[in-house]
Amino acid sequence: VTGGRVQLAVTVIGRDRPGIIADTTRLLAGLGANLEDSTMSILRGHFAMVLVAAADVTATEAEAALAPLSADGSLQVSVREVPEEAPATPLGATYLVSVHGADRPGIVSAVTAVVAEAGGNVTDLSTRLSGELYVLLAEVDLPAAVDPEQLDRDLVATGLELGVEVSMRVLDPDVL
Amino acid sequence: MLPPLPDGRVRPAVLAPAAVLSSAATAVDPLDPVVVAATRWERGREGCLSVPDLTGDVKRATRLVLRAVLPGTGEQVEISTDAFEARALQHEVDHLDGLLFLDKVAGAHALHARQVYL
Repeated sequence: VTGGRVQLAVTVIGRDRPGIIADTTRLLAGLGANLEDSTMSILRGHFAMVLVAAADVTATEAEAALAPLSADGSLQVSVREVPEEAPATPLGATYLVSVHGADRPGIVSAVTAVVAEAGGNVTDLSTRLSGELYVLLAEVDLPAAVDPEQLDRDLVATGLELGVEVSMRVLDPDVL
Repeated sequence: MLPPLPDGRVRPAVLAPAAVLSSAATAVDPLDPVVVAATRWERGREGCLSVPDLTGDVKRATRLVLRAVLPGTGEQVEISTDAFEARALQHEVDHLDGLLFLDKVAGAHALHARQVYL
């Protein structure tokens, strides 16, 4: 790509320390990139950030500009160009699927497989391991054609197989 | 999770916070509580002894009317509250239905690490 505004997806993962965001965004601002959506969290002590920025440079050029971030080996930085996507339009109602119970491998895959099978789209998800307790919270957009009660039954059945509690309910939007 | 109770069986509500017990209309734990009215919903932070390290934002009614019976006499009582106990009572009634606050949180990012003050 030469010239023209493109969207770049930037991921930064690694050892947490103060100043990672400040450093990353300073380098991006230096390229004339404009930050659009971004999310950052600390996952089990690891810094993890994903952002989408509009820029007039290629992904390769942006990655080169961000190279100082990964110079000491504590952070991994990658940049790729992504096509412009229309803003997501909800399929129907949004539900919150809540899963909690004793930790074991395969909880997320089993639960999200049931959601996917029904045509539900996960729009936000977080999981936490707190001692022995594993908690998964997923916001799920369900097409109007999907029977939420059937999906709820399927999820509860999957939870029984896994030995965890699963519940699903309409995510009540705060109306302002 | 508690098994569902057959119809007619009494279920006890054990209200953990001492403030609830002392400020409630009854001096003893009410049995078989049923929510009669729940209005003025607000989001607030709550925790649970069953989930020691996490808290969550949960939308609860701030005005609550519960109907319950007193152990021993079987006398029916109504508990009305617009204080913090409204949240505590709904939390405890949820337990009787086999639910934790984790089932009621306001979204995928409504869980938080519990702050430790002592």
